[in-house]
Amino acid sequence: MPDEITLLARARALEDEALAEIHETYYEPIFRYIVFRVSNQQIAEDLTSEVFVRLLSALRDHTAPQNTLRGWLYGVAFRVVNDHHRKQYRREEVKLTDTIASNSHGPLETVAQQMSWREVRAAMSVLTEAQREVIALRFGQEMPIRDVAQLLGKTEGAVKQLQARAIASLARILKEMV
Amino acid sequence: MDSALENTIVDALEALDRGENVEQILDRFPQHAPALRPILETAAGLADLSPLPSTEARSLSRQQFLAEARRLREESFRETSHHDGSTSLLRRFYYSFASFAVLLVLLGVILVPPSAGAIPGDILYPVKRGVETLRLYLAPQEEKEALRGQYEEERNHEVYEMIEVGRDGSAGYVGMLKAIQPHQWEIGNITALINDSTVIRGEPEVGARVEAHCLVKDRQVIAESLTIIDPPMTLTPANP
Repeated sequence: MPDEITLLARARALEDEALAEIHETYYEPIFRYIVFRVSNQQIAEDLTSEVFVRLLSALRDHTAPQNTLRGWLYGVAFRVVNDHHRKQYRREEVKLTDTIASNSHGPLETVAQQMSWREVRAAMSVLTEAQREVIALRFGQEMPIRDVAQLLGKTEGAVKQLQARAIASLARILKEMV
Repeated sequence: MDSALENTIVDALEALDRGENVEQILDRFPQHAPALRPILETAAGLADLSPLPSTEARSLSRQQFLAEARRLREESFRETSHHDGSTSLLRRFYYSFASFAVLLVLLGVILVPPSAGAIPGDILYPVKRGVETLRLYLAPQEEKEALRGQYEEERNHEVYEMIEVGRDGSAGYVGMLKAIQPHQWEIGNITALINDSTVIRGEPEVGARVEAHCLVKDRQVIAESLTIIDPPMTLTPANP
């Protein structure tokens, strides 16, 4: 934590090295959270960049966090995605190809491994907003249950329940698709 | 979904999170294995299906982020410089004004009272004249004429003082021309000597107001210039 406090102090001075370190550390986790929420590579990349632009604005306006960055970035990412969804309600989403890089490997031939991101997106769309949020945090940001609960202001039990129901729904839908 | 199955899914997912593999977990919950398998496989697949951003997007984002940071840094620098400049200018103005105010107070408190009795040639005489000019400038319009009369009296008094104390120097005063003689005019109660160098402006006439600029020397008033500023007042006889 002291390192992050120092890093944030340097970031407030808009030091290139500190900002580059923040981008390097958080770009991928934030992207993975967002891509689970929007399920589109290009949009997720654009929205991830937007999170970092908002960080700069906050640093300029002295509203950036003083002690911890991760939770703050998540909060911004959450709002950026919601803003995106609100805009999407107003216009039909442009269909983009869903080719996405994946770390998928290994001998286990699971249902999920056979699915494409198009199917994941389709499956995710039937989840509730809270369920999508939990899946994005758990599998996008690889956040422990305790941290997810803290961020969402829920009990750990409630988060576990949301996760269980979300994955059960995904499994059922994906099985039907395969 | 019944609550027993839901609790089992929660427990099974926790086990998966701890690193147990799917088969091990299914062995622990054989009664729910058929329902649990696709759920656990989906969870394992999601964890393994870790989407990554493209290298190009990541690099572009970094470039844009740092470029925007540079722009903000420059903007902040310009604002700080401008602010400092404005502050500095304001501060200079404030200090100048404060210094001037202090000087005025000092002049008022220290110099003005002693300067009241100054006559030409005294160090404080310019202060006395300066204060008079300022008072005349600041006085309401209806009071200006009275002040001018008061200061004319003061000029006359100064010339008397110079004669009395034997002070040599230039002086000026205004008074009524009471008598005209070949080599001297009586202006007010002061006799001004006239020589070839004396400049006379206007038509001298007893009763006229004259502005005299003189040199006081050896207790005598030598006129350098005499200017008729007002003709004598003419009395119109009343109709019989």
